[in-house]
Amino acid sequence: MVVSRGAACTLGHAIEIEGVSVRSDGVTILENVSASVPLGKLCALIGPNGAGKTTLLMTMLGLVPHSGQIRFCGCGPHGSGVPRIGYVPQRLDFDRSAPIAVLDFLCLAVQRRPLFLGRRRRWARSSRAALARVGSEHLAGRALGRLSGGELQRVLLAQVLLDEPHVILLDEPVSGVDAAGEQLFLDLVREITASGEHSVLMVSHDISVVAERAEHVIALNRTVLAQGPPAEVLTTESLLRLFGVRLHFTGAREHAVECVPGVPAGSAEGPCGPDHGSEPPGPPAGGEPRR
Amino acid sequence: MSGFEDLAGQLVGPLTGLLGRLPLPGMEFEHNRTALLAALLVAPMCAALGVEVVTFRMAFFSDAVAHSAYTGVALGVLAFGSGAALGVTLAMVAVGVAVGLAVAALREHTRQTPDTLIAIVLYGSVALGLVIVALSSDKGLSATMAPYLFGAGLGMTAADLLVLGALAALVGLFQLVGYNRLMLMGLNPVLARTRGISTRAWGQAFAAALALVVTGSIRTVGVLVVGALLIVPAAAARNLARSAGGMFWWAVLLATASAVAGAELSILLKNPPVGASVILCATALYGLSELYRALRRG
Repeated sequence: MVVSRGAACTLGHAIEIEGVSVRSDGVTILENVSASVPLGKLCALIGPNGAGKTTLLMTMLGLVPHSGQIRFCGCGPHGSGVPRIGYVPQRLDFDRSAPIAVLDFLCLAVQRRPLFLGRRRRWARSSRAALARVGSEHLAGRALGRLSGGELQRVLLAQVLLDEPHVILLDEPVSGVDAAGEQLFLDLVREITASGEHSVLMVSHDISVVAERAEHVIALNRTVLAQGPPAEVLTTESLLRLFGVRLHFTGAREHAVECVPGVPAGSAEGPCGPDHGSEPPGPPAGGEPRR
Repeated sequence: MSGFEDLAGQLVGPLTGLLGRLPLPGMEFEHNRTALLAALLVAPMCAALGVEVVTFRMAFFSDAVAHSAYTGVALGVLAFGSGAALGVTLAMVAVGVAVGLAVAALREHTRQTPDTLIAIVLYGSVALGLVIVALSSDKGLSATMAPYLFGAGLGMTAADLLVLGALAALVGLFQLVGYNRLMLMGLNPVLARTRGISTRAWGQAFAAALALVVTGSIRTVGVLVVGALLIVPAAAARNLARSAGGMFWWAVLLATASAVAGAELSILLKNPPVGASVILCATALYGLSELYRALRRG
C-alpha cells in the first residue's frame, strides 16, 4: 500500500503537530509543541523523564484532550483521512497467567467474530504473515504470558503491522529487553521503515541508538527544543539543554553491537538479517491445530 | 400477570418435560426439573461473563453488585409490598445496575483504588438495606428477604425461568459482540483504545451486563454465593484452557457440569439450597483443575 500525501501538508511529512498543548489538573504537560514526523522514515522522540513523550504519543492517538492541531498527512487529501495508527506500548502490562495464545492475541485485535467461535481463517493467515514479518512465526501457538520481553515486543509489532498502519508509534519499545532482543527489534524496525510504507516515531532514552538508527530526531521537554537530523540535534549543547547534564556524545559508532560496520547512521538500508519485508504468508491457512 | 405466567408455563413446559426424560434421579418431580433448568440457565450464563470478570479482576465488583441486591429487595418491598414479586425484582435489578454504574463512573473521577471504591459503595448500600429492613413496619420483610439471600431454588416458577432464558439470550448476544473487545481491554486498555474500542462505553456496558446477570441470578442462587458462579468456573477454566476461545468453553462446560451435579446433590440430599450445592460442585471442579495444572507442570 502506497501512502498518499495530503495537499495541506508539506511534502514528505507523515505527521504535523502544530501548537499542541496538554494540561491536566492545572499542570502543563505539553506546551505549544510544534514538530513534524517525516514520511516513511524512522523518527526518534527523545527527552528526559517527565518530558511528556508518552503524553505526546497519547495525544497523537487521540486519547488525550489537547489544544492545537495534529495532521496526519499520509492518509488522505489535506490530512483529512482517517489515519491507521499502530502503537506499541513501553511494557504491555497484562495478566500473564491468562491462557491467551499469541495467535489469539493477534486475532483478538482484528477479527469481529468472537474468538470462542474460532479464529477466522483470513485473520489467522494474516496474523501468521505478520508474525513472519517480525521473524516470530514460531511463537504463534505460544502463550502470550510466557514470552520473553523481546518476544512480546515483536508480537506487539506484528499486531501493529496487521492492518498496515500509516504511522507506527513505539513507546520505548526496547526498555526491559535484553541486548540481543533489542538489536533484533531495532533491526526489524529498520526493515519495516525501509519499506517506505510506514512512518515510525519511536520514543527512546538511548542516545546512541537514536544516533545510529534514527533519520530524524525530535528533542522534547514539555516543548520542542530541537528537531532535525541526528547530527544536528544530538550535539553536546542541545543534549545539555535537554537533559541538564553534559553528555559527551561522539557519534553512532560506539554502540556495542554492530551488524554491518560502515553503514551510515540512519541509513534506510536494512543490512542485517534476511529481509522479511515482502514475504508472502507462511504456511497455508487451515493448519490450525488448536482451537 | 397471570397471562404472563400462563405464557411462561407454555414456553417452559416442553423444556422441563425434556429434562424429565434424563436418566437422573428425582426428575419425575416438576419442582426438581424446574430447579435443574434454572441452574442450567444461570450457571453457564454467569460462567461466560465470569471469563471477563476474571480477566478484568472484577470479582469484588460483582460481589458488590450482588450484595446491593439486598438493599434493592428491601426498597422493593417497601415500595410495592412483599407480595409484588415483579416490583421487588425490578427494584433489585435497578439498584444492582445503579451500583454497578456508580462504581464504573466513580472509578474515572476519584483517586481511590478500585477495590477501595467498591468497598465504599458495597458497604454503603448494604448498610442502607439493613437500616431499611430495621425501620420497616412490614414484619414479613425478613421472611421475604430469605429466598433472595439463599436462593429460591426449588421455589422457582415458570415465569422465573422465562426471565432467566431471556437474560441468557441477552448475555449470549452481548458475548457475541463484546467478547473480543472486552478481552483486548482486559489485556491492555490503551491498546484497546488504539484499536478504536471505546473502553469507557464498553466498560459501562459490561458493568451493566454484569449487574443484570448477577441480580437476575439471585433468585436462583442467592445473594450470598452468586459471585462464586461468576468466578469459580472461569478460574478453573484458566487452569485448563490454552487459548482465549478455549477458556470460554471450559468455563461454560464446567458450569454446566456443576449445575447438573449441584442440582442432583440438592435433590438427593433432600435439603440443601440448589445454589450452594452447585457452587460446592464448581469449587470441587476448581480444586481438580488446580491439581491438573500442578501435575501438568510436573
